[in-house]
Amino acid sequence: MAPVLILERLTVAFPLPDGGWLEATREVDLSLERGRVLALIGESGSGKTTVLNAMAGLLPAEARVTGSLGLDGGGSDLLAPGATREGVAGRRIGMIFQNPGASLNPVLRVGATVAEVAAVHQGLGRTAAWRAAVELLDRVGIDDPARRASDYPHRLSGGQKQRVAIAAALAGKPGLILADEPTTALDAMVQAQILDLLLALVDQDGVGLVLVTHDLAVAGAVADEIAVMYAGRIVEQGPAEAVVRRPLHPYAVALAGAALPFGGVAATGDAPFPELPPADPALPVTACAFAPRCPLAIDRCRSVRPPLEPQDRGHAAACWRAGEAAP
Amino acid sequence: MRMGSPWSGLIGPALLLLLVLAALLAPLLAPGDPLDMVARPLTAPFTDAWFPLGTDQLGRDVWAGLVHGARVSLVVGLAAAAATLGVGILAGTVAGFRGGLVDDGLMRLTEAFQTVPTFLLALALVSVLGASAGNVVLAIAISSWPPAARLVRAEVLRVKTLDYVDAARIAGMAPLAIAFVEVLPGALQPVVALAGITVGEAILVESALAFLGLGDPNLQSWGSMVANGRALIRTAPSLVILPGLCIAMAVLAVSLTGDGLARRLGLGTRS
Repeated sequence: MAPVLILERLTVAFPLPDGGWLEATREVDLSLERGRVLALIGESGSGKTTVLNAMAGLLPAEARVTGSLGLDGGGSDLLAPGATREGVAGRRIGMIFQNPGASLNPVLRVGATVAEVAAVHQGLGRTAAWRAAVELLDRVGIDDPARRASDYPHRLSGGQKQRVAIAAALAGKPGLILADEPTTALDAMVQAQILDLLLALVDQDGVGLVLVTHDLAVAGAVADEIAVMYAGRIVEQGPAEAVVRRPLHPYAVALAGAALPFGGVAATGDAPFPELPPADPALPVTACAFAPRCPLAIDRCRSVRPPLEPQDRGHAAACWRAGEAAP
Repeated sequence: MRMGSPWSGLIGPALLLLLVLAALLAPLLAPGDPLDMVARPLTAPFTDAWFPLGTDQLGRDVWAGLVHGARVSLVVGLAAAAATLGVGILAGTVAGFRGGLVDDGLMRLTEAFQTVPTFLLALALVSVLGASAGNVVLAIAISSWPPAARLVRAEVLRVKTLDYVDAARIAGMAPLAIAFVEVLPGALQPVVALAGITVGEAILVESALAFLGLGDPNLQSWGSMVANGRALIRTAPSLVILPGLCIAMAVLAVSLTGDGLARRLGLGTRS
């Protein structure tokens, strides 16, 4: 089966006021098949949202983007922001944002927001698009969808808004759904419901889901595969089970220690490494970006950056001392 | 909330309703052409039951002039404000949404317009185009669109960074549809407040143009009535005071109404 997403060597840089460039992501490779979930995890500033925005074509025009993107077996798209802005229309991508309050237009009825997407992508007329919107709202678990479709977003709860946003993302019949921390702004109960809904849709429609989160527990519970990002690079990637249970990179080990695993043992509470500000992405590329915070760092880490190399059955890590940190 | 505020919110709309009624019912309230000479010149107000507000030096009925003048002021004021806001919204949305060279070009253009005082520009335009109601509307629109454009642009710049605009972009909506369906409605709230001020200013500019003799010569306007009574301000002050009061009342009415409307909308949409 052809992957729904092949992203190769994505590097995104933003211009700095002093004329230099800040590389937000460096040589990121990702691939995903239909019906599967890939979780992209990392702390704020690690570049995970930049990866998502690059795939969605939402980077600002001044960003410098290199790499290639293949969607749904199609040829590789140029990722340059200027080129994608028009090209986005043809992409079968649905996106779900972190704050459901901001992702719905407050002056449009929620049915209209969903119907608009259906109209654009499926070429439906007004009434047909509206009917499609009501069906989608029903699918994402909105009670009494025919009546709810006529409501404005402010009448809906956060969880309901996120359901509507998911319906809008599905209305384009996408092969790939990008979700940027879709449950972070929601109550714990609602979080679980929204994640269940997303998983059900992935199963039923066979879409691929890229889930950006900073919560390893969430990633471990819903994803088939996990990619851990640090300072713009993927430092560990592998089957979700393996990454959560047997993390190889010291950073992933620390993340696993900080998380309360689903059905696992509670974290010890020890700070796994000294608290430092998020790694400076402007560090020289010759060093491992995590070295300044790493308890296992050796001289080699500070001079030669370790490549992302397979260690064990599809489980890769970019670390000279992979697997040595105690989970 | 202050005591009595429910009533203060009604003053503007009540005055406006009165003016609109006067304008609509002008042919019934004062049949015939208000420019006709119908009575002895300079009849004082409240002395003749047929001409309650008296007549001017040519024997024209002041009451008829005022109610027909309401038509001119309101129609020209509203049309000019609509044209002003229309051009401003269009230019502001395109500039803010498109950005880049288009934005730069349009903003430099607004600055060029704003260096010339609004009234002088309108005056120059009417004297070139000729004095007619249509040209007065055109002149006011051309001279007053920049503030509306800059306001709308600023709001569009804010709204276009919101997630729902990104969502529309990913959904594949055409840029024009995104600009006018998704972005513009969210940017219109401050424009409502501006609308009241714009209508008021348009009424003032129209009156001032008429005062200078650049109003439509075939229509009786408050501004031209003030100009006409100016020479007799010592002997027949009511000829200046009455149309002057009407101008003030009209501007007050639309400003209060616009304020009230903006306040209600502001309370309604703030979360």
